[in-house]
Amino acid sequence: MERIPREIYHTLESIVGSEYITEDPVICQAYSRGGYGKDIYDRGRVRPACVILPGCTEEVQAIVKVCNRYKIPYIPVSTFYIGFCAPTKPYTIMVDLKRMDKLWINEKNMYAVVEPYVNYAQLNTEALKLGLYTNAPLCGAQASVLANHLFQGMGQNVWRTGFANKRILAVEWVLPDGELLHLGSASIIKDYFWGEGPGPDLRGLVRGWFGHSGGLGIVTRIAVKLFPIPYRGVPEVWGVTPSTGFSLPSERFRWYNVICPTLEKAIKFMREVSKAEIAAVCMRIPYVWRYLRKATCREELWGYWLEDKAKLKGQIPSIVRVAIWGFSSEKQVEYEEKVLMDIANEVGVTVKPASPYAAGECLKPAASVRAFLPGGNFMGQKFNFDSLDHAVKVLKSGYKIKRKHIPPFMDDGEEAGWILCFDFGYHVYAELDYYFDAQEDVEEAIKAEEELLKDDLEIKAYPGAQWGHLHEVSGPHMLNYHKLMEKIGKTFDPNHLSNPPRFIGTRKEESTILTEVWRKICQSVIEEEKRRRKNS
Amino acid sequence: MSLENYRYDVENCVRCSNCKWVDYICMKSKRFSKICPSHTKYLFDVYSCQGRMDVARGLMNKELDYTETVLDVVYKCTMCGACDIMCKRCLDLEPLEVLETLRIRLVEEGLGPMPAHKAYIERAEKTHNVFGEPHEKRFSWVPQEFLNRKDADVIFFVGCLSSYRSLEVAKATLKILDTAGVKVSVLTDEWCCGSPIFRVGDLKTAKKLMEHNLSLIKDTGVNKVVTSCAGCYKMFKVDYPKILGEETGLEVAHIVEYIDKFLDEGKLKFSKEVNLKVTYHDPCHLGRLSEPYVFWKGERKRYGLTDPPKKWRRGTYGIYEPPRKVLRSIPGITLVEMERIKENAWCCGAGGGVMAQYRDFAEWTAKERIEEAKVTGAEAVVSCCPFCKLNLEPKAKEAGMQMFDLTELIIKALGLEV
Ligand SMILES: Cc1cc2nc3c(=O)[nH]c(=O)nc-3n(C[C@H](O)[C@H](O)[C@H](O)COP(=O)(O)OP(=O)(O)OC[C@H]3O[C@@H](n4cnc5c(N)ncnc54)[C@H](O)[C@@H]3O)c2cc1C
Repeated sequence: MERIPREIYHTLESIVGSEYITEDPVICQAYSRGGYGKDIYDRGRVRPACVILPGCTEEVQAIVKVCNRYKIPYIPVSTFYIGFCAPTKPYTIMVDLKRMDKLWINEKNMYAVVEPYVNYAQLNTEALKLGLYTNAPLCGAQASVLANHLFQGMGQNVWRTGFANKRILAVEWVLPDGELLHLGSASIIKDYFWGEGPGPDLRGLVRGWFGHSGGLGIVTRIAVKLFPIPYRGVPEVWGVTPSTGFSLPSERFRWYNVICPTLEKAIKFMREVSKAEIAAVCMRIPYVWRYLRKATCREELWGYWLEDKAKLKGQIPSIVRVAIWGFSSEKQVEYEEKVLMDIANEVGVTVKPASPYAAGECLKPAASVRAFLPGGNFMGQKFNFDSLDHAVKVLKSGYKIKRKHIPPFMDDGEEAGWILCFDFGYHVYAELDYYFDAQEDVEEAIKAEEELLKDDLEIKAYPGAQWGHLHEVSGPHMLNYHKLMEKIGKTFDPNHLSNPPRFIGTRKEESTILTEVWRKICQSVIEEEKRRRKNS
Repeated sequence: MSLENYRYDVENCVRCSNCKWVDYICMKSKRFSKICPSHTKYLFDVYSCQGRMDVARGLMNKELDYTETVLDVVYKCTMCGACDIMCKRCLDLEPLEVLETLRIRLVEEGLGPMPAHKAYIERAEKTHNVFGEPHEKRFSWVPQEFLNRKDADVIFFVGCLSSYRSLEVAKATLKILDTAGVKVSVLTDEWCCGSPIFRVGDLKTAKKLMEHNLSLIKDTGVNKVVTSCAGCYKMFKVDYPKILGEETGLEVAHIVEYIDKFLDEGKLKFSKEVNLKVTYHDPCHLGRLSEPYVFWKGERKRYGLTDPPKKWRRGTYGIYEPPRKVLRSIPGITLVEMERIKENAWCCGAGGGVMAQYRDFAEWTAKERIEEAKVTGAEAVVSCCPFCKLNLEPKAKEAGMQMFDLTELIIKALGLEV
């Protein structure tokens, strides 16, 4: 990997101090691949040229300005779980935001201001002490609150809290060229309590529907909504690794597994719960998730799963997971439980009490990474947003495609997938998961991914999220949205340096040219250094 | 030793960062939410287990050379195994074995271990202890009747640290065993257990010491070994079979397990109050890493399934409860817990050769632990390992706290003196 010319490196060094910057290949190696299993979202990865750890917004700004001056690509890194931080361009600088880990909670106004390296486990731990919480994503509580709010923001609690785009308040944002922008109230009074004006409200850009994956600069501070929860304190932990949990007082917190004989009944049940506007959690989970949660190793998982699957003879039930929380009173729990039972009776599904320790996994998901257990790798696909009916349509159609790939994909007996409802079910997300061998089936998985997207386009479903590399496929079917994104990219990031080719991969050509430009700009510096070295 | 044996483990790190934090369910505050001392201090991801997996991958794939930085990255780690146990909450991988193999590889390459390690290994080769003290001094404190006792039921393996630096622990242990009526013997030809040497990757020298100790013990015909050092304990229970490739045939126990049993059986009875509010520090080698070694020889098949099915050591059955139970049973003691306990414990900072080579890192890690202890309102920190005591004590004193090995409190509660 090419080294950054000394002059530029020293300029960067002068911003953060020598302790917080390196270009040692060994250290850079740890930033050279994405997470999310092997070879999935980090294809074409290279080792970055340099890693820098800014300690404050001013330093981030200065780094981004230097990158723009010399046309060096940079990638913001918060917790770096998903593969989109993996560099694919030469000379890339990783801006690891780990030193920026401050958290402030405003109890009275129910919001938290977070820097990039605050995760959900930390936030919900501290918020619970004040009787507050927020949705924690199912990828796990280790995800950065800021990065997740900028990107997805989906987990059990969105039934009440809604999608993350609605939970963002004021924002501090270093634009791709280094200019500092405050959104919402922060732009006027340096208080983060409000997302809309006074001042600009560009949340549609800083996050939009599914974020810019670091393609539009670096967000250094963000305020996120918190919600009241009828509990205050630090819950007592039960168990020992790998099976730990905590419960919350049963007068106020109840958990249920609703066993539905068919997908249609599950959907009908969820629709009725939605109409009644009860519950704190209501989502359909793939049946195999229960095995993922309980298994202590993959042999056990496969063993139990194959045994039970045989017993079920293809009649895999649809599981809807429900929680009822008495936000206002214990009476609310009683009332909602009665409503839930009435609905279940009417629809013809069975409500079973679930473990009270589900509270732990709900507020601070710790077992999520077990999604990788069945085969070493897994992929969530479809990512459709619309309604319950739409979810059924896309999942059933997707299932036909998934079926073609079983084997090699694990047969999880699942005709649908994860159905997650936001805002009491008025807005619904559908995800189709497949589990496969991390060594052998990657190409097959990538193929299935494209087929599933094409299927969406064919059945006129709405693939609300793309991972960035298939915009060319979906764009032309959807008003050429990728062209608009290209324009936004060009306007905000004229040099195309903020995590290229992310944000909009169709700017590929341009970024290659820019690398060439950059090579030329630096050539003189490199020559100069060579001369100096020779002389000395 | 080949890194290739661990290719699957290295390539299947999903970068989830579980290795960097305590189990989220168990997290009690943001302040004490991290679990990896190395990553917390040195910040760059390479100083985490995830980063070291990347280095292993880089070395295997010849994307990286064995350089000074590799040494720095690999040795600035206390080998506390927190990453391993946190990873295994969700995945079937062996991160700690990868870290061990990296060190072994560095030694094989002629690069490792670090200078301070080389020095103590040389001393251990000459004098059989890492301090370079005369061998005779090792047992000079032991009353004659316990030396090489012929009618012994149990061998007390004292360890270098207790023999030369923490005599109070050694003496207390012997006294407790004797008081409980155990026919205990100390072997005059005991050598270093090999832990500090294996821990830094010198497999060859460690093996020599291990083989010596094992045959020494076997020659006595006694198969019960007790120790009060968590390092020696894990070495005998886990690393001896692992490295030597076969069961040792020894019944290995830590003194706290014996004390627990003796109290239940009425062989020990407390007669004195010890009025103290204490907090307990779980030694890594007695807690999360102490499950018996499980032999496995096989391969990964499709979906990464192990064939034959492998039994995983996940830290579930570490020695967590006995020390707590014993502490609670001492009259006058109030036990208050720190936030990071049991499998989530923050390391004392001494292990993995860190105390010898990177003193500032060891001290920093200890300070962090003592800050956590201080928050509990305890007057004293108690542990079950002389190495933890050695590293934590100065920081505890600075914070106005006392530091005890559990055996010392037992002696007080028994109304005895050593
Ligand atoms: C197995 C798995 C399951 C998942 N399931 C869910 C789920 O159920 N719900 C859910 O919500 N999400 C889920 N996700 C995705 C998850 O949302 C993200 O991984 C996470 O939110 C972001 O954290 P991260 O550690 O990936 O962040 P990073 O990898 O650090 O960042 C993600 C992206 O944002 C950019 N970025 C990071 N920090 C900044 C910043 N400060 N400013 C601007 N850009 C930045 C990065 O460049 C990168 O492109 C899942 C991911 C995986 C791998």
